[in-house]
Amino acid sequence: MAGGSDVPVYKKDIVHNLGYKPIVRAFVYIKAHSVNGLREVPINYYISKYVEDMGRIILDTRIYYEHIDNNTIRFYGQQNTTVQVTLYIEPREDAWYE
Amino acid sequence: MLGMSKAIMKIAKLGEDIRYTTDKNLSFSSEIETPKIFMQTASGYDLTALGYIPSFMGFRQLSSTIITRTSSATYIASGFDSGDYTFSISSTAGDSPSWGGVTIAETLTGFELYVGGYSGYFFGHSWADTGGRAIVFFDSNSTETPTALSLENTPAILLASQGHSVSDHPLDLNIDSRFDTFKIYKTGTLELSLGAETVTTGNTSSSTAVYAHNLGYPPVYLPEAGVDWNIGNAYGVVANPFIVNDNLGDRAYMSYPSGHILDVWVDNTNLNMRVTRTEGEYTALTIRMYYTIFYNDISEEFNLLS
Repeated sequence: MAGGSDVPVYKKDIVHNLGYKPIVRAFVYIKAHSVNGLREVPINYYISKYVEDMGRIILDTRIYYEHIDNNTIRFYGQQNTTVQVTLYIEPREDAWYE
Repeated sequence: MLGMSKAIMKIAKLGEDIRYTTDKNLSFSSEIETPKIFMQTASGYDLTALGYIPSFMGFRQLSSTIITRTSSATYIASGFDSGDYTFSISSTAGDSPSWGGVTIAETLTGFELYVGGYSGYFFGHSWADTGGRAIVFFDSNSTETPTALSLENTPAILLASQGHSVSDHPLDLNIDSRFDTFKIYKTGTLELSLGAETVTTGNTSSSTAVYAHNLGYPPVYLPEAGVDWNIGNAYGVVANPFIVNDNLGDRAYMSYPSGHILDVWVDNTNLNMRVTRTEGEYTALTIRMYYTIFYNDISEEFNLLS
């Protein structure tokens, strides 16, 4: 039975100080309700938890990111989630080879 | 006494003096890691022998059967064909998360690359798309120590990362000519300027911007925007201008998209960006995408480990 999305969201900043928004590729290995494998962020998925007097419930949650500014990227997700992040210096929007 | 130094190779961009320029103006530096591609495949692959989880970039080959549902009973034809390719987006809001697209998962014996098949359902509206493609490169996505590779003896240019030797795993080499890498062909901007309009019930309004790369094959491109992207935040508000590159971290692909639906895909001739408006009232909106096209061919298959 699907429930609401009341999974607490935690955040973590990566301060790269590049002065522009780089390409981000981030992966997370998820073993959760009906999800097993390496997935690229952003990802929406379901987790299950046991609640006394209710039984097992299904909650939707997500891992995603946003560029706060040209120097910081903020990731959001569940607590203790390990996200492997790669920032690509090139290509960027003001690249010279156009 | 002279201090220890290390060999560094740098190439400056056009018009820059390599002796004095900053890293920003380099077209290459051996101090900066570049991805080393060892495989491109349209099939699943047992990665157990690698001993760790590598990185990958997943694509899907589109087809004329793909449709976009705007409701349970209403759909719009996508207009794609088998010559069109886009990114394999591994999850969606509202769809079953087991529709993993191209992914790597742990098995009883190790790790396996899934491209199509049971764990290869793609987001979209065709069950079990079989047109998956994966580009796999050495960058690690796990903490395991890679297994030593047995590679064919071949002339090669190798440059080790600091603290490593050229006999180490390719993961620890900054340059390894035995493997492929991403080669930039062109960069540029695609922009759509949409006017204010009213789209009536049962109708849609589409606009497309195209860059003709004319490479004769579907090239790898960035940003990693797929098709059926329902742009806008949780309240349906779209930033103006909407910069595709800046919003990739929060992209949503809905079962029944409405409002602005963004499609980005590539074929043998063009890089395409299309926005479709479904029924509703719309104000003017600019959508901009800074693209990069690579020489790398999405449809190519090879395995440089064998």
